[in-house]
Amino acid sequence: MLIVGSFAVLLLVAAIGIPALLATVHALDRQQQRSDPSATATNAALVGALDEETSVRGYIITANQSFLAQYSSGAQRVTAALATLRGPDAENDIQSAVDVMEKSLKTWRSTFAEPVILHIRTGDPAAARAIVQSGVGKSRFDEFRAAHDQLEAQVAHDVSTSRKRLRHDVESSLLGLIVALAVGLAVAVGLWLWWRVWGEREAGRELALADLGVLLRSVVEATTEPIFAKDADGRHLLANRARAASLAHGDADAIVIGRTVDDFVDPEMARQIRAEDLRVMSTGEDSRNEEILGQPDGPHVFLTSKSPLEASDGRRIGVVGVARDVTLERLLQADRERLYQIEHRLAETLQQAMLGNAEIDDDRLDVCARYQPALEELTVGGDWYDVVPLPNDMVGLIVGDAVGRGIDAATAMGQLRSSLTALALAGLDPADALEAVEAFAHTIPGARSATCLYLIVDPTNARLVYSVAGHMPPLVITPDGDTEYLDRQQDPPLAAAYLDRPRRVGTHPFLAGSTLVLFTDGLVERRRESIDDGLERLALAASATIDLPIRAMCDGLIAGLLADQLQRDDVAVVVARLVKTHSDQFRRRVSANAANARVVRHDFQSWIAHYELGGEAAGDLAIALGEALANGVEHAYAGMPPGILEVEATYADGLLHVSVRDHGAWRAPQEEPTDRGRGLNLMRQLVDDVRVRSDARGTVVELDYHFPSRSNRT
Amino acid sequence: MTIEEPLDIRTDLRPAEYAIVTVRGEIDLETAPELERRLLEVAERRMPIVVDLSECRYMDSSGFRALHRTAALCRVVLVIPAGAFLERVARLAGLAELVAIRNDVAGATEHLRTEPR
Repeated sequence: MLIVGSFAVLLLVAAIGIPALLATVHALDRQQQRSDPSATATNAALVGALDEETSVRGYIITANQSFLAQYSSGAQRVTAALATLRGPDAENDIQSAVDVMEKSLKTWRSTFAEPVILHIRTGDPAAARAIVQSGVGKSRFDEFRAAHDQLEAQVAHDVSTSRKRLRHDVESSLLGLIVALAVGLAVAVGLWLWWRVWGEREAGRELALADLGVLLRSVVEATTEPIFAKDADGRHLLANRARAASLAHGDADAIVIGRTVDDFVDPEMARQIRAEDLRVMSTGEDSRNEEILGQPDGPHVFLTSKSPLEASDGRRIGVVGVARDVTLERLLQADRERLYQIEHRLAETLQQAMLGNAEIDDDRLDVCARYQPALEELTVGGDWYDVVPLPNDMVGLIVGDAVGRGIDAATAMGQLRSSLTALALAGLDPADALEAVEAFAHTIPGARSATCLYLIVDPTNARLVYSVAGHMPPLVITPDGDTEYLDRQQDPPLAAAYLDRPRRVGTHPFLAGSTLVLFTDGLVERRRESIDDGLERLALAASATIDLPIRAMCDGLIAGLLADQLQRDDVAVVVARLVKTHSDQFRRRVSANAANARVVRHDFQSWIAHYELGGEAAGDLAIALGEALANGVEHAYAGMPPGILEVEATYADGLLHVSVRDHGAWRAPQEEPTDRGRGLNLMRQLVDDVRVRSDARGTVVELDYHFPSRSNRT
Repeated sequence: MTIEEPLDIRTDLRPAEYAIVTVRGEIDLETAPELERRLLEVAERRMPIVVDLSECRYMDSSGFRALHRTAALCRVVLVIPAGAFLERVARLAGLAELVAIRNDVAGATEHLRTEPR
């Protein structure tokens, strides 16, 4: 009766053990389903907040209402994410971390974002600027980030502890099951032997034992995973239908008991399985390995867990095991990887094929462009650059970034790039070209919100002309290492919204020896850092490497700025430098207005600096030219649309000759006390000779100045 | 990321008996109207004006015209550091005959106190 009792206990254990194991596995799945959304929600909260911050910054720079769209949608996403985190399952410590994060974001909004938006809306940019410069925005946002990091750590900790706990539960259930089966089988083997030897004498008990055997078997059979026990020679002592099917090509009715795996699988696999069995028996340790077994639809992978089968005296007399068919999982995983790789290769090929000229053959402008893909897999992005030779020695430089990654981004990038380059070659100015591309971008879904910068370098007029569509501003570095970002003409990204005004064009002096850096955000952006810090770092690095040849400078900037971190985004960089050559001839042709007069005067001052005149003479010449220009601007076109001013200065053999020509109708020269008469008078005292000639085509003011003759002037 | 304005004018009315207008940058055809507007604003108060040009990098006849017009309405003392190129140009432009020129603000206020018109 003792034996019958132990059988009953064994059956009970097995009957409870299997469902318990399954229940625990389901609990693990549930936990996974619950904890992953927590991590995702934390991340969503950060992304929403970053959108808010970025859109406020965009709004500060441009005062353009459309930038604020992301502000409110970001706020909604943050609220939704926080609600998820506060869900019914949240622990107390997560609750309080969420509260801290929400409070810090609210403080950021109330002390920084909302006042700034209000000031700009009510037309008080000075007040907005004061708030921006006070740094309160950055410090409040840093507090939010710190709170976010705290929460993220908390969530990660909770997830990992609960997973550990559950994993432990699963392992102990599995172990319990295996031990129960092992004990049961040991007893069964013992019983069988006892029955064989003593069977005839104990014939009366045969029926009861047979009944128990049937019961045990039906429990094992009910399990859909293969379960088996083998003796020391590898012969199956026990195998359920799932095991028979796994060994015998899907035939669940195959006879497995008493046979070894050699009868079913190929010799190499059989050898491996046998070796693993022997290892388990000799060491007494559990093992986990993969067995590849032929099935009607091809080979399947079975993840098999084995433990030693021990007799009542502790001798190891075989192995017991449970297997799981993981073929489908493996196939899906392999498929995913293969698809990733195909798409990655395709996108990379597309990207490389569509990138533009990297070098340009021009004796006045040195250009170097680089594209650096991200380090992570499948992160081919939509960054691009192009270098476009234009008439009159001008060169167009383009840098852009289509939103997103992979094939979609690369395709959108290619279309934007081709169309913008064509428009540039057609001679459109930067703003017109961007507007035309924008009209096109509205029709390409992947091109929406792409950022782009089109800049024309005009060496003859020592000037940059540019238009920026939501892109990182170009950086100008003077030969002395002074840096300036051209960030005063920021317009929204392409096709992000319908603009109700024309895109703006900026101009900036670009003197010989100056260097220009155009780039995409991957060069300066880092996680958990303000973009201003990244821009500051680039300006410092550029200033420090200004004396290097541009190829070395370009590579140095990329290597230096991306050195200490994993590069998550692709990067496009274009560096251009105006070769420092001096000509004894200075020529400018500009439309006649006061702002242009100042630009020409500044350029003239830089040009004249080459001759190293004393400060007094250089100042005199600047004023004399300024007067001649003012004359052209003020009088020649009075009451008419502005015309053209032509300025020419030549130096030869100690004589500087300057002429300023306009094409307007000259009025009779006015003498004192009128204002212009005063200007003419001043000119005459500053230079050696002043001549004013007027004809049907317009008026020329000519100045002569002898070098060096500053000593005998009054 | 610096924004360099071509002209920056500050008016200080605190001394009460005179005003100090500090000019930084460049006075040319485009910026002179702003200088003139700011000077005439003070001139309307019938106060003497000290115009501090220590940090004025450029001035042509459009600027001198603004100073001439102001000087016709009230007393003007210019502050131009010794040796600055503006000192000579102001003389050439005929400004020295109309207004007093001193080398620093202290000298200019001293002039207003000791030589009442």
